[in-house]
Amino acid sequence: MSRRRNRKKNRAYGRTVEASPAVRGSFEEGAALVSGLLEARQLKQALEEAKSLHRRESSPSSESLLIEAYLAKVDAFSPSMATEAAALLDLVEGRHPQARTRTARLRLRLAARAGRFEDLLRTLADDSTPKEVREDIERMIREDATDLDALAACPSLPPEHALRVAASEVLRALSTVTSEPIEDESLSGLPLSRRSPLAPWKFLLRAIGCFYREEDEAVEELAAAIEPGAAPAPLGRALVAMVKGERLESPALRSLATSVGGDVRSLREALVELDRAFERENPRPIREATRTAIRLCRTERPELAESLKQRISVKAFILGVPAEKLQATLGGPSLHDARFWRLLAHALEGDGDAVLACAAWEEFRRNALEERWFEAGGPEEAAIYSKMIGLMLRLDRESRRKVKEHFPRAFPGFGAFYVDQPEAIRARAPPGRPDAYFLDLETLFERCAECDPDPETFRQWLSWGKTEPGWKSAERAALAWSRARPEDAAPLVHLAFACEARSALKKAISFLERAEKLDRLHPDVRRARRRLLTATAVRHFQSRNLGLVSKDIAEIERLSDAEEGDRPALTAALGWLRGALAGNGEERVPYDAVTRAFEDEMAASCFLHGLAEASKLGGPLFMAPLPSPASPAQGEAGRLSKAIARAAALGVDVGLSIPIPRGWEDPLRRDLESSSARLEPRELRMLAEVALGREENEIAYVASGHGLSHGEPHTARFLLLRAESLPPWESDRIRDCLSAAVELARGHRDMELVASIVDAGRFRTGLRLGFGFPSDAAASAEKAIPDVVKREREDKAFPRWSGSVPEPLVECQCDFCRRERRAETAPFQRPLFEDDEDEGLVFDELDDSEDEEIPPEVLGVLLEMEKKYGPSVDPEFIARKDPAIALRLAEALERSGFRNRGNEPPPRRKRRSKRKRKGKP
Amino acid sequence: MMVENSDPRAVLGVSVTAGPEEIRAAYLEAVKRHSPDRDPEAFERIRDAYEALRDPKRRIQLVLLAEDPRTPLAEWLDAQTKKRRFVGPRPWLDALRKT
Repeated sequence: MSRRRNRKKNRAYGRTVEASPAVRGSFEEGAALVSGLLEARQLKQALEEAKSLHRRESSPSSESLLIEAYLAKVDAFSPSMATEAAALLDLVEGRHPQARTRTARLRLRLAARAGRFEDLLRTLADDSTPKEVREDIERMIREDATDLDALAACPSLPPEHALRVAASEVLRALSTVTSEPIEDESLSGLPLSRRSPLAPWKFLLRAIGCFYREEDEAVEELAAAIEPGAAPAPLGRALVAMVKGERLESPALRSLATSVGGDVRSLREALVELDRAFERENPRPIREATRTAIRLCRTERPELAESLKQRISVKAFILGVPAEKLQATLGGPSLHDARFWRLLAHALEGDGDAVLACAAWEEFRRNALEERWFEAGGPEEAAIYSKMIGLMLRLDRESRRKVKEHFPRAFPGFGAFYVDQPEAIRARAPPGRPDAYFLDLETLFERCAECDPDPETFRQWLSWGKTEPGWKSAERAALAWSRARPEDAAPLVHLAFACEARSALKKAISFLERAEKLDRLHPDVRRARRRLLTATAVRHFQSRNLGLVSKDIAEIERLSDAEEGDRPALTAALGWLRGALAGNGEERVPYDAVTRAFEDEMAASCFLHGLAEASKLGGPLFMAPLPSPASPAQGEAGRLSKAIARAAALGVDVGLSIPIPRGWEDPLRRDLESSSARLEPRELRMLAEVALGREENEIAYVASGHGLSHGEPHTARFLLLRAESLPPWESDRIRDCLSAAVELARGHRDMELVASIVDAGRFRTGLRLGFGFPSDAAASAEKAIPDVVKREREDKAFPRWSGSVPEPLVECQCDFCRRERRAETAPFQRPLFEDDEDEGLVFDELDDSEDEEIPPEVLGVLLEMEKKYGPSVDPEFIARKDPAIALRLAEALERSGFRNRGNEPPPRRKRRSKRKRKGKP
Repeated sequence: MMVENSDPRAVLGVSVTAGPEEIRAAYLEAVKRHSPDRDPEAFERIRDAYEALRDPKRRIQLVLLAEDPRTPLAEWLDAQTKKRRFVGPRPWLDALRKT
């Protein structure tokens, strides 16, 4: 060892030892130096210094010091170097005969360490051995007896000797405690007294027991109880190092830690290096680090080797590292069992590849069933389908359509993953092309519900169905729900609402009656009953059947919640309208009754306007007596807005569309502009929606601006309303509003609102949401949203066309306008719902009419609709979005001799065919 | 003290295919080894793991979500319960003799 290294080592021990002062200083100084070095276990240097000192002094004291240094050096020899130790002792005895007494004791100790106890224990067996000698021997056994086998079998002692018995018992206990989990109490019977030379072993045995029971704190306490110089002390220190994850200095103890599983430091370091290589995405370092990691894992944690291979394979697959080269470093392909497929599916999910992740989940499902992780057709399988549903819902409708078209042709399947696998796994390879059933959300919902008919599954299915174009998806979900869980009222309520929306009132009532049998008090059931009765009354008004209207009113009055909120105004309004129509003075309900019910003249007037219009009684005859809004009096700002909002809210409650009465637009706008602080978000939303229904975009603009001032959680909704209120040339603002709205709605997990926003985006701008937002690619959507909200909140003025180009030249992005100017289809845009064969198009019936010509009056409305909404649009959508135009179409159809359908959307192809089959006109 | 592990299956030492009875047996065994008096923290982890596995819905989610391949490999290794292997007395005595 060089002096420099010695200095380093000395510093490590906290001592500073000068080089060879023994040669220069006094004997005392030299002796102190040698003693210091011996104490610091710098034995080689101590011996060199002692030799130098003895050469200089040649005194008995220096010789004694030299012998001490020699003995310390020999004492430090490991048991495996017994021959070298004996040779060195011979040398010392030869040179220094007076050292024989001391070397003899050391020889005994060395023999004991090597497992040769005969000489040592022979003395112990002799009863005449003095007490001091006996104690010295026992001390040597306590400190040096590591070979318990030899001790237990030592022929120098009789078999029944306490020491031999104790050694046997310790060996037996060690065998037990290192072979199976045992309780601490089972070690209490060991025949070891505190004074026994083997007493430290008892602490070691208990510490090992705690180590295997993972009671790591107890391990440290018991290891500390072992005397530092005792024979088993190194194992105690090793146990502490293992539970603390510290590095062991001795190779033998490191080997022990590896074999019992306590030391994985080398493997961990290799995995850190492999993680770094994966981060750098460089195949060569990945392969090199993989080789090391797998080798160490096989040594240190062999039970984890296969799992590690699978993880490395999946990470490499995602990075696109060539499989063949990686397999060479892995020592063969990883096992592609269910666990592997689960990892791959998760990884593909994380990589954003939802469709391929679904395919991997399907492989997991098949493999897990083969491996009997769970039974087929149970909740576990349903959970996998549910996982796939979540993944497919990440895609918007258009992307799902494209994927459904292209993926089955482009995806070859995972067949290659089954090559080079064990026979049992190879047999699981899917025959032929993969079954891409998961591309169809309805199939997934069906399978999921079949495996686990959980109401939540059906609720999600129905919720998705409602976002699909048309009503059939939702109806199929509701019917499936009702079939699987006939005790649930929710699907029946949906079916009743859906039939009511299609004006199929009889069918709606039959569903409602079934729902009422299940749960008459359910709020949705009661609401459906109220809406159906109102719709029936309106229909009876349309057919001027006033007797039935009276019955309807009576039924509505009998409803248990007919007196709640503004609902008394409904019966009052129906009664007033019936009286106005009958002209019978005695039966007439006074107008005051409606006003009293609302406690507001304007609200009553607005509601009556809407009711009369829905009942096709909106002519000047009935409207004449109703009051119109005047300029708001001082302190009454907001009264008109609140009144219209209340009337519209009651309309929503009872299933009536209440528009802004004609001529009220300007007063409403003025009132709204002066009353921002007085209106609640629900009132503002109602106003914006009714204004959009009347194409009063300026009013909707003001209302949405006020709504944005209310902040979360209303921002997404009012951004949508703002986008819908903006004129078409503000396409950038529309896109920003919708993109921000969809992000916020997703954050609130309001999927119905998301669907509305997506529809609005496609309808207004041909925008595929999620792309191109924000406009500045460097800015994140999260940062852009507050800017958009701030801008829209602060921009109070409705945008007016002020450019030099005449307004009509601003290109509208709707289907119709683009086709008219022969523009290319906007990116991601397609004719709405072109693939839905079952969906009745607005114009189906008229297009297919061979025997009926389209009357010019109807044609005019149709062309207007087509120009506004495109050539192929869901009639339900029109009825919801633009009740006014739907009503005008219905009226035109009626006037032209077409069947009277009231507010009902234009007929559908299928229904008409059915009627034809039945021979009805 | 037990080694931290977020996977309830690993805490109780049951396989992915373990049914309710096997899970309960493993729970009782683990509670016997880590009683609330001696090792309250470990007992709490064992109880949480059992609660997670006892609920069928949560058990199913664990089947699906037990392993995240994006976890760095070193962290994955740390999360594995250090399964201390019973190797018999020989390696212990050999290590002691060679030290």
